[in-house]
Amino acid sequence: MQGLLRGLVYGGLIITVLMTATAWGMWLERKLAARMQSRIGPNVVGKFGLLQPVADLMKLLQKEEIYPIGADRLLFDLAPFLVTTFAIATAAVVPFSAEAVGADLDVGLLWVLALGGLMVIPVWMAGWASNNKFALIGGMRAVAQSISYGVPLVLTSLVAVVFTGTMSLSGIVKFQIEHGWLALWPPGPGVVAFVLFYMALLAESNRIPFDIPEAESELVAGITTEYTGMKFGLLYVGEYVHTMVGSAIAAVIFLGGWDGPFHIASGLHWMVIKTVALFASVYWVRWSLLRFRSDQLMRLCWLYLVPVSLGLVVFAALWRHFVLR
Amino acid sequence: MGYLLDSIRALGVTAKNIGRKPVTVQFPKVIRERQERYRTSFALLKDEQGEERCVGCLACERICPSQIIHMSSTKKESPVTGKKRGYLDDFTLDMTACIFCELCVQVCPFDAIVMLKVPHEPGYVREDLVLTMAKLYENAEKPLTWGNGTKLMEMQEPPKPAPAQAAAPVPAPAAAPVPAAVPVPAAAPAPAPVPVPASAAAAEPAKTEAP
Amino acid sequence: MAVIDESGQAYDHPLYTTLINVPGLSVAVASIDQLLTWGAKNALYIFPMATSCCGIEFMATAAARVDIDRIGSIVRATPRQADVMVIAGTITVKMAPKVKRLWDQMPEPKWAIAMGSCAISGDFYRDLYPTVPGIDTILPVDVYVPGCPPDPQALMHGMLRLQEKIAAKQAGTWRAPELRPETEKMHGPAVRRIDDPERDPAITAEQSRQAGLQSPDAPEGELDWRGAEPVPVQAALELEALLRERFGIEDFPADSAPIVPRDRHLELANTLKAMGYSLLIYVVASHWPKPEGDTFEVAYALRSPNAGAKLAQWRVVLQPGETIESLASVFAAADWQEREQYDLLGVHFANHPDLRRIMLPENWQGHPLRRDYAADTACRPWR
Repeated sequence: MQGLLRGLVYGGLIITVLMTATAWGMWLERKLAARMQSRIGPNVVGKFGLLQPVADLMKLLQKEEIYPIGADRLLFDLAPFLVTTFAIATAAVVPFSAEAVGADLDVGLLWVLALGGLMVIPVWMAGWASNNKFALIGGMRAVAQSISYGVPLVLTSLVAVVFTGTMSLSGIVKFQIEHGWLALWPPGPGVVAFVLFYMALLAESNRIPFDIPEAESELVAGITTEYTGMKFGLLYVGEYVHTMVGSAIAAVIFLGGWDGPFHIASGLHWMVIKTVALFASVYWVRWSLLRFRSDQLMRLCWLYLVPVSLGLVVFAALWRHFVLR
Repeated sequence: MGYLLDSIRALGVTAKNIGRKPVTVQFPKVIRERQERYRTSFALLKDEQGEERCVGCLACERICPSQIIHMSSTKKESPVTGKKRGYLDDFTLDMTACIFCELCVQVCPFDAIVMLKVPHEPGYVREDLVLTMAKLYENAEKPLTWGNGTKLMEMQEPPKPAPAQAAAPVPAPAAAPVPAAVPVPAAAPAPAPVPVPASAAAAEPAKTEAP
Repeated sequence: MAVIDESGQAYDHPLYTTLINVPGLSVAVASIDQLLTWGAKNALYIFPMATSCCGIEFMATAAARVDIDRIGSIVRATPRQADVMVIAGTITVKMAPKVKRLWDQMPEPKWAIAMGSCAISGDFYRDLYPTVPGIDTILPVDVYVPGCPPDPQALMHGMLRLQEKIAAKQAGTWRAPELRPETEKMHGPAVRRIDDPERDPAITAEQSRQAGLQSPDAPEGELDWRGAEPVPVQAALELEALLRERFGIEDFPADSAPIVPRDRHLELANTLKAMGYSLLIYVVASHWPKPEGDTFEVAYALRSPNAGAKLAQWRVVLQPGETIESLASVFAAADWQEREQYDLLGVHFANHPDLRRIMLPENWQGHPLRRDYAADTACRPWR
């Protein structure tokens, strides 16, 4: 009973905090993008445009709901909610500090990767149910991309698992507090694994340079083409939540989670700082680089990322066997 | 590999830009000054005696490529000079179809119509964009552009070849009380460097000197 | 008991009449309404319907100098997520159904901004068969931004006017602007067609009298307005008569301009200028490759602004190796236009003050508008 209550409270808290953080994450992205282009960005609505996400929400709530002719209504309605739900559910096992963790699963990493893999389904649902060729192509591309980039994502996570010998996210962080951050400590391979994980993360959350599922110049708006009002809002927010949670997981696995540099003032704030920094860097990359073509995307994944991450797993196994025994 | 290096450079460029000052001019608060020869909207002018310059000669209505100028006029005794001249009854300029080519300004022999540097305000109906005579005379208070009929017609003239030739044809009616009223290029024989051959003699054109 | 609002509409649903009497509820509803209005006007996503040059200014509006993102407007590529359609450019009859369809695909509430003369009224294409005479003939336009094209600040101003309108509409204080009496006159020029008999370009003496060009009782050419020289009305002096009498030209093709001998072309220009043809409209050359050599045709057009806006056009044919006398000594406007023809076609104008390339770089090979110009002609790139 107490566990259930705790779960409910923590769940409510994490949904609220995560959605709020994501809303202002969107504001942060717009401001950053503006500054990168020598613009100011939103600054009329509220001080520094801080109320812009609220205005967007208010507007989206008022918009008409449109179902395209021939749309599969059930899937069409379900997809945006599932996208957001899966993205938030991932956050349940993320340890934001030693105490602030929803469910400290023994196989937390597996839960994260499984839900990340499941994200393909609502995205494909949205693409299929819209009865729109652009949405369909966007959905197909998203599926192809997510499945391909799932492989290096899992393999680089496996590097961390092999090093630390645990699949619990808190366990991974505790190992790093003891031995040093995985991105830094085995010098070289750790950084490579982190970079590969980061690239796979970009691809999983459909961000430039891997955003061919919603390439505006080719596919109108990809899977979101037919969505209006708040359902579009949920799809849109779902992507941002996905990116946010992905950044948190990258921080946990490779950057030592709540551990401060040299163990200085460890705590929740370090986790927040790392997550926001990674989140911002995703948008820094987004507004700087160009989009890949489909074939370049696949070649990059299967010819470079997968072999390199396989090699990293082998290296990690050897290191674990001979150095850390 | 090239993509990777270029990507890093691109990331560097955007990172550098974050630290820079934005170039945005915040429109409603600060309005960017338009250039001296920027052309939007129109005004009708009055002369020093407070008389309307426009006499309703139809030159602008006829040259307008969009056919948006519409005027009517009657003849009256001028209270200032005592002579008979045309006075506008009505003048409408329909900004909904204007292309801002400035031809009406250029052909105006009396420098009556000129253009503004500040644009006409966006309207909620098409009628908001129609410049009536009253609005055109109100617009004379706003910042005007450089061009008027005299200046623009002078631009059509090629550069004067020699000062000795230039002083020759001056029509200059002595009775004119208004100083800048005689641009009328058609009236005066243009001070062209080449004398107009009256006969059909195939004269080899005189040499033109480039300054 | 029915409740009647300001606009005279009666609400007598029992739920409504009950709720309206709950204390505090109307205040809460009003503040929620204000919040929604505030949201609706501060997050206007734009769907760009940019078909021509106004689209460039639209892009500039979204760029750094006049950042439209400041007021919370971003550009969405799909109509489903947009609130404002900005129609920037001429809409043709073929395009109109697509525009209407995209407009219908936008979810309510939605607004439209007509940007630039073409979108507002069809501009001077409005009488042509392929042009929609104003986008408001197929969809309701909320804000008209005049300009050809309007500059970015003007479009931003239009967006701000739209925000005012949305606020007024949701507050219930919006009243459609009334048609003012003087706007009746607008319909004269706006609907007048090219073939209107009133639009005869050849001004007659009688018309000139009516228009006040000449005093009805004064003899021809009398000093009239303010003592200034009246504009000489030369309605009778047509180009054709001049060419027949003075230049001995007999061939006047129905579908093109008469051909003037090369050596008398400058003389003709001077004569016409003295007659009041004081505006140079264009200089255009064309290239005719022939086995014995390249022939060029150079066409000129002059316009007389004061004597009835008449147009004078003529052609000069250049045999291989010939040059044409430049008109830069008569019309300053000829200078650059002749340079352009030299640049693109390689026509040589004798006695031109400054015959250099004007558009292409100095090291460009050949003249691109010649008919024998190979499209893949190599040229060193320049930066």
